[in-house]
Amino acid sequence: MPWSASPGPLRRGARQAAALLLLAALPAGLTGWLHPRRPAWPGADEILPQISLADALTLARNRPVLWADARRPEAFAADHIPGAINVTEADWERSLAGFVGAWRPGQPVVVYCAGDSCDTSRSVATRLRRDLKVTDVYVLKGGWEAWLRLHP
Amino acid sequence: MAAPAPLGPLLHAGARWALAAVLLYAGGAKILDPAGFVAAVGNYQLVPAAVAYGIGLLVPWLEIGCAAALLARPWRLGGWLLAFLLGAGFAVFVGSAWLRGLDIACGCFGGAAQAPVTAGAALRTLLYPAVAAAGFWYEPQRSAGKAAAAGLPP
Repeated sequence: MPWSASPGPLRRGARQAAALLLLAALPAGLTGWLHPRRPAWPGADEILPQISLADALTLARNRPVLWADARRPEAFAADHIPGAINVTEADWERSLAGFVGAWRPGQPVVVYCAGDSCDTSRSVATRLRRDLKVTDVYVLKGGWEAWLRLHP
Repeated sequence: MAAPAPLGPLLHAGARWALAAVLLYAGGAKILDPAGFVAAVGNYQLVPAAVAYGIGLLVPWLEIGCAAALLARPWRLGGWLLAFLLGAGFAVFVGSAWLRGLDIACGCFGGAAQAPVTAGAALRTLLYPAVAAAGFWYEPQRSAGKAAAAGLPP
């Protein structure tokens, strides 16, 4: 064995790794404090209301709702909620341009992704809230699967 | 006749530079959009939001530091070990997401603007800790060999 006779390399490596961890803590802290794209402190801005499909449809009957489809473009192209626009983090700048063209200030936005096992709707909703100050934004419970259950 | 150059040191150096390049690129991409990477970590639903926040801020700088350590001789052992730990943690996250059938982006190179987690991606993630473990394993042997060749104690 190359170094089993001495515990030196493992101990030295662990010491160096610990030093690297400590060294990384400083710029990480500064990133969280000063970076223009710093994340919101957990709990401060992350409480996103979820909405069931039935409630979203009721809301849409009373006010014009903008549906934002956070699935991949191929899935969106295959089918989507009528009137929805595709907003993906993979192509955020172009998505934002499309969103700004479709959204009217004050209009509620319902973001959905594939179903319960995805979380891109939450990410997109968070970024819409942070980047565009969209306050009336909801995450659709069950996502596209919920829509398909109601509209097979 | 001169003995052929041993392949091991070349492979070792190649792996070290390749791993450092990947880590540098991955860390740099994440640092450009820390909010996106924190969201990507949170999407794995493995850790509480506060922990995802810490991981999301710390990991990119660890990757940069790890890359630098792999390229700086006195720090190589720490670089290999840290690369192994980062790779193993990454494999756990991606593997668990794949096993749970989560439809999320891997966040491998920053933010959520990435390919989804698939079986292939989960298997690929095992490559990094494997390379790092092999690099760590070989590093002291190599140093010892060089020291012996120079007539120094290992």
